[in-house]
Amino acid sequence: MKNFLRELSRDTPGMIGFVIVIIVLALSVFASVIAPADPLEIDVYNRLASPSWQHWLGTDQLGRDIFSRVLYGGRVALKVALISISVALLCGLLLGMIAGFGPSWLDRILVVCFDTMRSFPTVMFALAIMTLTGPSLNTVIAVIIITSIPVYARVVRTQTLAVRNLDFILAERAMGASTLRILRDHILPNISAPLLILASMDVPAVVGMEAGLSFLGLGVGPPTASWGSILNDGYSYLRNSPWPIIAGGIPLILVTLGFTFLGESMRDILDPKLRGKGALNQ
Amino acid sequence: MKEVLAVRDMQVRYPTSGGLAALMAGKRATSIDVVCGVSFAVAPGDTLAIVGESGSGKTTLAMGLSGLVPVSGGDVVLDGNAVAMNSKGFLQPDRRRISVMLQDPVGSLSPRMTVQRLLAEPFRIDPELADDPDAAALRLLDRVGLSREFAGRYPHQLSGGQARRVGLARALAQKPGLLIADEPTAGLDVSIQGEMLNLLAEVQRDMGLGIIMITHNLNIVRHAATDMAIMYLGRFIEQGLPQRIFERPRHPYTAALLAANPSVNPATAIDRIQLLGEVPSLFERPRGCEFHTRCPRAQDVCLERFPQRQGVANTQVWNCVNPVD
Repeated sequence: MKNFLRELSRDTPGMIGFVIVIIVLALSVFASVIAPADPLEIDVYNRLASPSWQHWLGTDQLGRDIFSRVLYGGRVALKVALISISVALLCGLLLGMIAGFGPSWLDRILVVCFDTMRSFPTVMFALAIMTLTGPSLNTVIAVIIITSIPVYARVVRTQTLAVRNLDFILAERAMGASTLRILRDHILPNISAPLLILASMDVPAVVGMEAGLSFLGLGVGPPTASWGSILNDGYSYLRNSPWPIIAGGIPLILVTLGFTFLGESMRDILDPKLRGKGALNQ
Repeated sequence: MKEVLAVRDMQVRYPTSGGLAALMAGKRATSIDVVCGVSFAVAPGDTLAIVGESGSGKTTLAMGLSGLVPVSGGDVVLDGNAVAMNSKGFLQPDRRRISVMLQDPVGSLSPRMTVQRLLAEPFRIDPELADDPDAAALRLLDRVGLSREFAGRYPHQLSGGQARRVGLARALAQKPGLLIADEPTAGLDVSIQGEMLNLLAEVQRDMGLGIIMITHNLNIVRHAATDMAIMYLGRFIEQGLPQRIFERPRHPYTAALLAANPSVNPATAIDRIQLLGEVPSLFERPRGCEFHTRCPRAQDVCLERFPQRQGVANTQVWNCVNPVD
């Protein structure tokens, strides 16, 4: 970890990304402390106000404080991202390792399933699910999980296939190590670096997806604040005030940039190390 | 003395997955024999050296014995008991009696584990072997002559010789009766090769190990082996005592192989025997004696059937109708 931070500090975009990520995380976690106002409090006399000392980013069409809404929206965005990515990562890990290490008939069945899942356009799939269950935050999370599992599983499968016939796995098998031990102690540590990178690069995609679904009215319902719903509300009143759109868009851009920079920097740091260790390229 | 391992007519057959195209072409066999009809016995304290070109099936033989590839036929007797074989090769309790050191010293160690963990691993796989895996790991480290400071290192921080020692320590953990060492000296410089061989000999003496050593290096065979076998296309074509074979090889292939071994003494007249052509493909195993396509002494009968074994058992035997004299 110390090494990682030292390497990171040498890479300017990576460091910027890291700082942005930390700030966004802190602002979201401590939203209730930092927020100057209740994000749901309506003040119709102050509709669509421009930024002032009282309302740092102005107010929306119902007079709610946009800065507070952005902070609470960050909570929603990160909650969706963390829950859905970690669940998808775990499921993808399990399925991918089964496909990569198990018998070839099982591998073929799983690969067909992954490819079938990937062939649905995400938004169409989301629309279909929302039509069945009605929009809610949990549905958004479920849709993202279902559409991300195949992505992770395929990466895990490829990595597992690359590792499974290396000599050290043979050596473990010759000693009589169980399949579980081989997967847990020998394959998992050797495939986890690319997965961490993929997961970190996936955060902005998921945040964007949540915002997109909320913008389309398929995500969190009113009055809950989400960056997508702030954008959606602002879009309707764009002629009256540009502030809601600006306030909803900037955090999206920052999160996207932050996690992408961090992910790319992680890739650069972890990959050459892997090569130096001779783990996968022998 | 009673043998650790006796093998008769061992076969390893790989199915070829040619798919539809191969099926329609109809030419290729559905399986290839990588090891066919190999017999030998190893007693405690013995070292059987197996030599042969790349692709002759040496490593496959080792993997078959250690249960990594299925053995498709033959009788295996381990410690005097016939081993029941299923389609997957050996059953687990028998496998522990046979340890294997794979060819690539660094590559056969799990790259994200420290030496300490690597050495404790066999005791965690098999908790009956030691009460305290970590203490047992350190004892192993001492056993193979590595200092304790290596315990915290990762495989990529080890030299080839050090990684070999760690591999040997791991192989010894399960207290095997037979150790299969695949190219134990490959990639090491000569002084380290000597140290490695001495260590092997020391361990062999202390533990009463039988060793099967797979090697390209004929000088090592001369130095370390008590038995040797020359492998060609999955068969032992000559086997026996090294001093006898080195002195008077009978099979033309052995003769060519020994003649190709460089000598340290520049004054020695080198009488190379040049073999023509390449090793035949396992997919198109020649009829009769497999070596007839390249043999300078081939006769018509060589094309018809594989020659009978000749010679004196346990001393020197060969499969050739027209041996070198």
